[in-house]
Amino acid sequence: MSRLKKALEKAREARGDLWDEKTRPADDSLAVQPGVSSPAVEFKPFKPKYSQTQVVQCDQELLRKNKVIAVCTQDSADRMKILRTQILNQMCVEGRNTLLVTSCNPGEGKTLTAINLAISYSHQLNTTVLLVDADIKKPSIHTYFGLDNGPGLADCLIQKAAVSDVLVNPGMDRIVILRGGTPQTNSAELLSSHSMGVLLREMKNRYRNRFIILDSAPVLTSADPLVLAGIVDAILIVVEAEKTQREDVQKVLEMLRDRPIIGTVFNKMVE
Amino acid sequence: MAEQTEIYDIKFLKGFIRRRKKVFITVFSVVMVAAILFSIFAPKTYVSTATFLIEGQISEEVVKGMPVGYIDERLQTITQQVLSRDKLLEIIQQYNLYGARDDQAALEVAVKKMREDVIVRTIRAEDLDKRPSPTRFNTVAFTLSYQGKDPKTVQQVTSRLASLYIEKNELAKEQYVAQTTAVLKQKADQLKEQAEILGRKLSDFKRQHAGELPDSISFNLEQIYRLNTQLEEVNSKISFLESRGKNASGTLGPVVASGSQGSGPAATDPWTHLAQLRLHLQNLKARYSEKHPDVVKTRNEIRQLEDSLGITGDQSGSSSSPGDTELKRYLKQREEIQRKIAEFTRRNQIAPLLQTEYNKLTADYDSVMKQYNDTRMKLADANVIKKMDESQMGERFYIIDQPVVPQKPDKPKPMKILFAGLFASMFCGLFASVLMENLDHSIKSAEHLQKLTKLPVLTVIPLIPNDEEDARTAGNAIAGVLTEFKIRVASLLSRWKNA
Repeated sequence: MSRLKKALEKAREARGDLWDEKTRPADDSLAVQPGVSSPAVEFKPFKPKYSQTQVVQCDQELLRKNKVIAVCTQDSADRMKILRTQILNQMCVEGRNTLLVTSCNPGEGKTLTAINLAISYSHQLNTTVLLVDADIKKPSIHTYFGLDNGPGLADCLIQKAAVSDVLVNPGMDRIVILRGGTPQTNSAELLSSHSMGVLLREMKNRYRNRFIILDSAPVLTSADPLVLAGIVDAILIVVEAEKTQREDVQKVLEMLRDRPIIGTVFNKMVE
Repeated sequence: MAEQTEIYDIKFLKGFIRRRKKVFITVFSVVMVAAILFSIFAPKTYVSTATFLIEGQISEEVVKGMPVGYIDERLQTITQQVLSRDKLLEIIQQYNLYGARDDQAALEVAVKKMREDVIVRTIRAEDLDKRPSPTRFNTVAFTLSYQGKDPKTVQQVTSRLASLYIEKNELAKEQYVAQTTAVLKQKADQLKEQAEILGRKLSDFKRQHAGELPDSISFNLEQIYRLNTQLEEVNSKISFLESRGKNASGTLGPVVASGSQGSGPAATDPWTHLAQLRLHLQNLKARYSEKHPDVVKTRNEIRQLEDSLGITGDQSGSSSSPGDTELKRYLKQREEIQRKIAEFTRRNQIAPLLQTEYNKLTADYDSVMKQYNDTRMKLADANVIKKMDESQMGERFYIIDQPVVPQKPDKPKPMKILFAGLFASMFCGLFASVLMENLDHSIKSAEHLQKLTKLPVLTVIPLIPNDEEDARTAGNAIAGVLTEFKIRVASLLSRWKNA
């Protein structure tokens, strides 16, 4: 636990206490009352009211059961914070706000990592997160939240729906989910189509402080992440401890040779 | 090829144990169970043993020249005899061993197997009377064992084999003695014949060369000496007679000493002497008869002289006188003596030449006689042994431990098997674990991942078991209880302090 604390300290230092300032009320004049937006104060907890986006209250119990850990254990939540911070540091250049989360093989924990990371992001008080289920062959993010597989990304790509219509807020602040939608077999083609590019650009630019996390299929079983790798700002590779083979990792690195991989996550480690 | 970027430290070891624990335990258990099953269900072998003591070994000195033989050799021979095909077949069929019926091939196999199942071990002891024989240890006892599946049968077979051993040993001894006796007897007879032949040769030789042999030399010398003495006497007599004869005839010149060795003065003309003698003979004949010794002697002398002068025939035979006769006699005697001396001398001269041959014949004969005597002695010894054997005093096999029905199987030995099984299990378990670990190319630590990818590991997420939440709750509960307890104790302490 002390190691973790040390890491947190380090992370805090790296940030330069920026966020602490941002989250701590500097003096009474800047004190913010939750729920009230005051135009005089620049930094305030951003609590958007979702007018267009549908809000579905997700069962906390279910989330905990599904290991959406950013919600449950303190230790795990801290780890997510570390991850979040490191990623932020790497991507602090303006305009870089799309992150692809992928892995070598299925079941290594990329979806859950993406979700937890998104939730951790949402705890920051001045950014919003858009969590996109980009695995349109086998969408799964909705199951973690206990949502049905309503229309989503796939439907947008085949021109059957508009993005603003299919976004969902899971009852937590500052996080919006774009589900996978109707499963499609020609996912790679759709994702590499012109519409995807347009869609992504729109999502990026819609909100200034929005961070977009895309959860995709594994690299070794699908061409989707390779396609998406070309249009995102950063890639995060999730590796499962004592399961992912050395050769697989090297293969994936080879395949994503010239892409902006910012790092790896060592998941499911036994301590 | 995936590079080996794994770091080997305590953490890795702990991880290794955790990862391969299942494999190890599985393999370990399997092998262990197999060992246990084997020790329980393996076919049991029972062994029955008879211990023999070799009693009354005769030492070499008691029976000189005929060692009873190394017991080991004898034992081996007897073993060969007992384990002969015929004997074994008999036993196999009697006790129905190895499940072999009348099938030829099966019986052959059974015989072979039985040979392996019979074990003979010698028990050695240092030479008790400390004779210097470094290469030889006296085998004082030996054990005879048979191993098989059924305890009772095993004991019976061992008993049978044991009695066979005793039987064969007795037989062997008898045979040995008999053989040896026969051989010795034959040898003795041969030698006797040889000795006789050589003896005859020797005596023939002796006879042939009687007096000529080296052992006659001294005798011959004695004779020569004696004869020389005689010769001297005779010579003096002759000279006396001749001088008397000369005196009798008056005008005759001094006597010629003819033929005598180194005696008498230088002679006058022999012809004159002859004439004188003839005249003398005439005178004698006128006075005496033909048979008168003087006549005879003179006649002899004349003859002698005639001989030496080369005149043959009796020219004036009638004119011999008695004095002549005696002279003649002595002359003849002298001749005889001289001849004898010559003979003895000759014999002595030959003796050295005959010596070699004589020695050889003697030596041959002696050696044969010696061998013959030795053989006779050995024969006598053999008879002694025979007598001893007959009276049970000889060396024999004696069972000091009868074969019993074994209560416990000899094999399998459970302790040994379990021990071996334990080691084998551990080894196999370890081997399997290491093998699995090496075949597993997964990434085992964040450091490894970092080294492999050369990308930063942004975070490490622990494995959350499905019931971690419950564990967490339980943990929290316990933590809560402990905290409460700590507070209680602290307040108590502070109260006591203040009190």
